[in-house]
Amino acid sequence: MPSRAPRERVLLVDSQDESRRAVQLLLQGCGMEVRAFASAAAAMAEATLDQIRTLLIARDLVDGDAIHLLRQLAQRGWQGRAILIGQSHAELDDAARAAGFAHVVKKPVGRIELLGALAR
Amino acid sequence: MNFPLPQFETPAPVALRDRMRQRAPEALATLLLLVSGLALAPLVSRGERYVLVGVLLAWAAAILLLASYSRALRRRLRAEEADARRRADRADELAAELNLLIDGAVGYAIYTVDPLGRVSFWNEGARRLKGWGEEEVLGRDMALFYPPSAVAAGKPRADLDAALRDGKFEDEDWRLRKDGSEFLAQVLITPLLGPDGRLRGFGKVIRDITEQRASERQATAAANHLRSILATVLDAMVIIDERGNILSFSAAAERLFGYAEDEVVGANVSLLMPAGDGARHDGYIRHYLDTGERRIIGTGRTVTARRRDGTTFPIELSVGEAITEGERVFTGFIRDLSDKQRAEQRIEELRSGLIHAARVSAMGTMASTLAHELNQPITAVVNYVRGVANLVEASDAQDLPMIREALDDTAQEALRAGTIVRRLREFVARGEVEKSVEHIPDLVDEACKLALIGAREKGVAAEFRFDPHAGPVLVDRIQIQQVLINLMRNAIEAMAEMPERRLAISSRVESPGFVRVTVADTGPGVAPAVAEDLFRAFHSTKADGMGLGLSICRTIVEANGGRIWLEPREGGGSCFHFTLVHVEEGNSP
Repeated sequence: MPSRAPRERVLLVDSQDESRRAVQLLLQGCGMEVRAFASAAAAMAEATLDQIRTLLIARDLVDGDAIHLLRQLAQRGWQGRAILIGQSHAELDDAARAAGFAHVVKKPVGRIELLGALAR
Repeated sequence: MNFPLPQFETPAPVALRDRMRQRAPEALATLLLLVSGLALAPLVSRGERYVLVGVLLAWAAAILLLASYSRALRRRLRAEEADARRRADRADELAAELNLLIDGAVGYAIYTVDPLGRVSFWNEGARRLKGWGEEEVLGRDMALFYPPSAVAAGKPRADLDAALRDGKFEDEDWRLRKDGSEFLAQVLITPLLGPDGRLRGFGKVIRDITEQRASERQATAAANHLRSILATVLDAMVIIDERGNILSFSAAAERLFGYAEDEVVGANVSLLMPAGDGARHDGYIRHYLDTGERRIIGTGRTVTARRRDGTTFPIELSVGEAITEGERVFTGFIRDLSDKQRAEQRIEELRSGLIHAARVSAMGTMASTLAHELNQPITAVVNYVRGVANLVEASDAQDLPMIREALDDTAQEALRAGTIVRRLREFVARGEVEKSVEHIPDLVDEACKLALIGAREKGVAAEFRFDPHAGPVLVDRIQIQQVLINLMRNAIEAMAEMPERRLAISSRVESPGFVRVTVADTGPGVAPAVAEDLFRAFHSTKADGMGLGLSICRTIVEANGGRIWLEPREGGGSCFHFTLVHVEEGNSP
C-alpha cells in the first residue's frame, strides 16, 4: 500500500467556537490537518509550529489579537502564509499586511472563499 | 470476547496406604477405646458389662463419624482454597487481558470517573487521544476535558446526570486535548452500578470523529454543489453506471423526458431511447468495456430520444466517462434539437420563399421589357403571316420561294418567342437544388438572353472572356443563371447614367477545384462603407430596392459550394466575383 502523502498542517486560532469549529471541519474535509485553538496563548504553546506552513487567525482573540500573535509566532521563527479571519475585507489593513497577513477571509467563512484564499 | 470460567478440578484418587495413614488416628482411638473396655470388663457385673460394651461401641462409632466428617471438611476447605487461588489467578489474568484490550483500542479513549466526576481509571488510548498521562488525570474532575464554554454551561455534570437518568448518554461534542486544541468527539457515558444498585461511577468511551464528520460535510457539500449544477444546467444530464442503470437524472432531464428522477434512478437508460436503440445500448456498453473502442464517448452525436409519452425527438448527445474509486460512470449531456431543427427548417423555408419572391419580383420588373421583347417576334410573325397570306392570294408561282422563306422566318420568330417564355417559366419555377455539370459559356449565354433584354437599347455593350481551362462546373443551372441575371441587371442599372457602359462577363481558374466568374461594369462603383453590408439581406443602395438580390446571390452561391465578393474595378466601376465548384470532364456525379 503506498504511503499516504503528508497532509498540509494548518494552525487555526479563533476564540469564537462556532466559527473556529466550522473552519476546522471545512479544512479537514479538504484533507488538511488542523490544529485549532481558542486562544493566542494556546497557539503559542503549539509544539509542531515548524511543521505548519499556513496560519488562519481571527482578528480579535480572547487574549489578544491576530497581529500581535502573528508577530510573536514570527519571533519564534515561524515562516509561511498567514490568512486573517475578519468581519470585513477592510480588516486587511496596513498594519495587518505589515505583520505578514497576505489575505483575508470574511466571517462566516465560506468554503469557496477560504479555498480561494488557500489556493492563492 | 468470552473468557472460559475457572472449573473445580476433580480430586486425584488417593492411594490405599495414604488412605490408611489418614485413618490411623481414628483407628488407634477406637482400638484404645476397645482395649479400655476389655480391661474394665472383669471389674463390672454382667449387666453392667452389656452397658459398657454398648457405650464403648457408641463412642467408637462417634469417633469414626467425627473423624470422617473432619476429613471431609478438610478436603472441602482445601478444595475451596485451591479454587479461590485459581479464581484469583484467573481474575488477575483477565484484568491484565482487559487492560491490554482497552489500551489497544486504537482511536478510543476509555476511562472511568467516580460518581462525582473525578477520573478513576485512564487507559492508554485516552492518553494517546487526549495527551494526558494517567498520573496527571487520576482524581481530577472530568470538566478538564470540556471547552470553557461547555464548563460554564454546566455540561460535564449535565452529561453524567443524563447518563444516570437514561441508562446511558450519547453525544457528539467538542473536547479539549492537553495542548488546548479541540477535536470533535463521539461520547458514550454509561453509569456503573454495583450489585446492590449503588452508583459506583461512570464509564466513558470517547472517539475522535473530526476527520469523519469533516469528510462527510465535504462530501455533502460536493454533492449539493453537483446537485445545484444538475438543477440549473440547461442541458439535460444523465449519469449511468457500467450496466446502463441510471444513477442521476438532472432537473433539465426531468423536464425534457417527462420522468421524475425518483422514477428512473435504477432503471436502464434504454428507457429514454426508441425501442431499437434501447435494445442495442447494453451491447454498445459491453463492446466498449470489452474493447475500449470509443464510438460516442468524448464526442457528440445526433441521436433520437424518447419521452415518457412515447414520442421521439432529436437530441445532441455528448458522453463523458469517469472512474471514481474503481466505479465507472458515464455522463451524458443531452441537448434537445427539436427547436433547433424547427428553426433551421423555418429559416430554410424563409430563404426559399425569399428566393422565390425575388424571382417573382425580378420577373415583375422585367415584365415590361419582356413584353417588348416578345412583341417583336410576335409582330414579326403577324407581319410575315399577313404578307404570306397576300402572296398566297395572288397565286403567283414565282412567289413560292419568298413564301417559303417568310414561313421559315415566321417559325424562327415563333420559336424565339417560345424560348423566351420557356426560360421565363424555368426562372420563376421554384425547385430544389439540382446540381448538374454545366459549362460556363452556356450558363452565361442562357442568362444573357434574359438579362440583356433591352440592354442594347440602353447603350450597354456586353463583352465575354471565357478561360478555356475554366472547365465545367457542378451547379444548379437555374439558380446560377439567376445569380448571373441579377448581377448583370444590377450592372446595367448601375451604368444607366454613366458615359461609358461596358458589361464584361469572364471566367478563369481560381484556386484548385474552383472556377471564378466575374461580372464587371463601368458604373460608379460601390462605396467601401456600403460594400461591407452589400451581401446582407434588406440592404440596398437602390431607392426602390428591397436589398434581397445580392443576399440571395450569396445564399445561392454558397449553397452551390462557392463564395461571392466584390472588388472595385480598375479604372472605375465594380467587379462581382463568385466561385463555382470545378469538375473534371468525365467526373460528373
